[in-house]
Amino acid sequence: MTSRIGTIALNVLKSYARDKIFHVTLAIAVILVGFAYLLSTLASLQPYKLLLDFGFSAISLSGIAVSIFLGITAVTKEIQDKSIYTVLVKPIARYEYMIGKFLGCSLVVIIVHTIISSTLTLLVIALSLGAPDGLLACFYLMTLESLIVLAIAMFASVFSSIVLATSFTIGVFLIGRSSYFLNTFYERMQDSSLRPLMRFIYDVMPNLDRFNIREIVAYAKDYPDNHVLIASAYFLFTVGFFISLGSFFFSKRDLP
Amino acid sequence: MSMTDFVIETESLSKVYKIGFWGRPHCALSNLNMKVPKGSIFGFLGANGAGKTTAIKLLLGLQNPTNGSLKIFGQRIDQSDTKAKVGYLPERPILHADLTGNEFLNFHRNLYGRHLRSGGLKSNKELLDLVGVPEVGNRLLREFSKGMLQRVGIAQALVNSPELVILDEPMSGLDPVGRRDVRNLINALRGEGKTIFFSSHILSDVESICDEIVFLEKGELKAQGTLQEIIAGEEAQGTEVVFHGMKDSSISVHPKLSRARRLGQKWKIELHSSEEVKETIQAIWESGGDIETVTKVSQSLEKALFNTD
Repeated sequence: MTSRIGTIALNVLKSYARDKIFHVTLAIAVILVGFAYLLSTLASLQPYKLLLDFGFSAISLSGIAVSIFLGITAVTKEIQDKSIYTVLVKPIARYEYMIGKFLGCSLVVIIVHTIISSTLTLLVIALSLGAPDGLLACFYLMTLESLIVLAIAMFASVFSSIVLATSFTIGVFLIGRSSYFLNTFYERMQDSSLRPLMRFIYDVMPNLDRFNIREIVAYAKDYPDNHVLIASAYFLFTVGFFISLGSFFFSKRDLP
Repeated sequence: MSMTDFVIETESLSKVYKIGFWGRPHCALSNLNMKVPKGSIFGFLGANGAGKTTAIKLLLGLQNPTNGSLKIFGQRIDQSDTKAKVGYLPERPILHADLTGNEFLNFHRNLYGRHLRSGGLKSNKELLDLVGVPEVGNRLLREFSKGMLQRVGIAQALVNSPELVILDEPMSGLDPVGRRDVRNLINALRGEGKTIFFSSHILSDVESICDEIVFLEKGELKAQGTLQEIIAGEEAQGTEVVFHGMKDSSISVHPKLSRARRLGQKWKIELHSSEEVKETIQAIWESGGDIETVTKVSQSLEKALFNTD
């Protein structure tokens, strides 16, 4: 089983490593971080924080965009061009295929994050005397957030069209990023009939705010010691849930 | 024949799709009963939309049947051991474009894991030689022509030295030389004891190499059997007479020759009894014509299946 999953994962990595779209996306992401550096050099106040703010946004935006693109196309593209048929008629279960695809796409996302994060780290070091506390943890959590979005996109793509799956993923991502506000609304809506609905959405949707310590790092604030550990556990649970559910739907699905 | 003599057995295999917003039922395949003998070249015929690809997807477990059952080598297709004995080429595939020919074949070989059979395996070079594209091992698939992709796709279907090779329209997109090569390859695979199940809407391809045929029309089985059984023997055979040296006007009014069709400077007439042949030859000679050829022809599969003239 492991070797078949590994074969699928490595094939994904190899294919994207040669894909021009991937190279262009990576170049744009690095340029965005470079742009953040230019902006910071023009700022008279706190250029260091401006660089971190813009840099983190560029990393997050690029990572999420790449994750949505990979997650949506990983399976659907192979279905469209029929290359999936030659794979699934081999002695490989559909859940193995899904896990292999997820791992392969995860490697691509991790590479994207690593390259852009390294670029930002070099620029931060160039602009100041050293990297701030928690910078690595921040990069790590942003990567986990992208991987959750990747899992959601793959889950959505196995039972709906590309447009619907993209809309669903972006919708869940936006709600997930607004978890803090959802909870605030819930607490303030004492008498509203929408209160249970708000609580339901808050409970059911992935809480992506758990992976956001960007402001904390940029403004040198403190965060709980076990925050990264708890976020990692939450990441494993969420990804496991979406990939398991996606595999279940995929195993029942008729391929067109 | 015993049960083990058949590599594919289907019983009342049916597939109904729900289409459109309201999920209107559409029967793509209805009650297909089929047995594919071991070691045969089995043709799966039908026009576009007849249900061939649907049936193949059901056989391979890519879709689930609405009704009926099927067995491959006497087992369910979702068994890994069963899958390991099967090779498959989909219709007009766009294969992993970012891989080289060798990487593509290695990728598919590695998917078998411990289920890869030990006997009769061919190297990438041997496979690419076999399908007639020995030079493409280190080239990216995106640089390949349609015909080359089809050939590499066939090589992919053979990486595990399968006992059953299922080819969906293997000759589509190929030039005449390519079609001949694929026909030769199919015959060679049969020589190795493999069973070849291939679909086509091109009757002449099926006619030239198949031992048995299933003909589908609008999802239903219309004919099944050996070529001889379907063409139905001597009664259905005829004779073709080609002649020249007569004026158009005399042919068109002649009671025996008015059915003749022009072939450039010549004429051709198809006859169905020996009596008719004698009378027609006599008529041509008496009218001053010259007979070029008299050929006994078998009724074609096309005529047998479609009752066309």
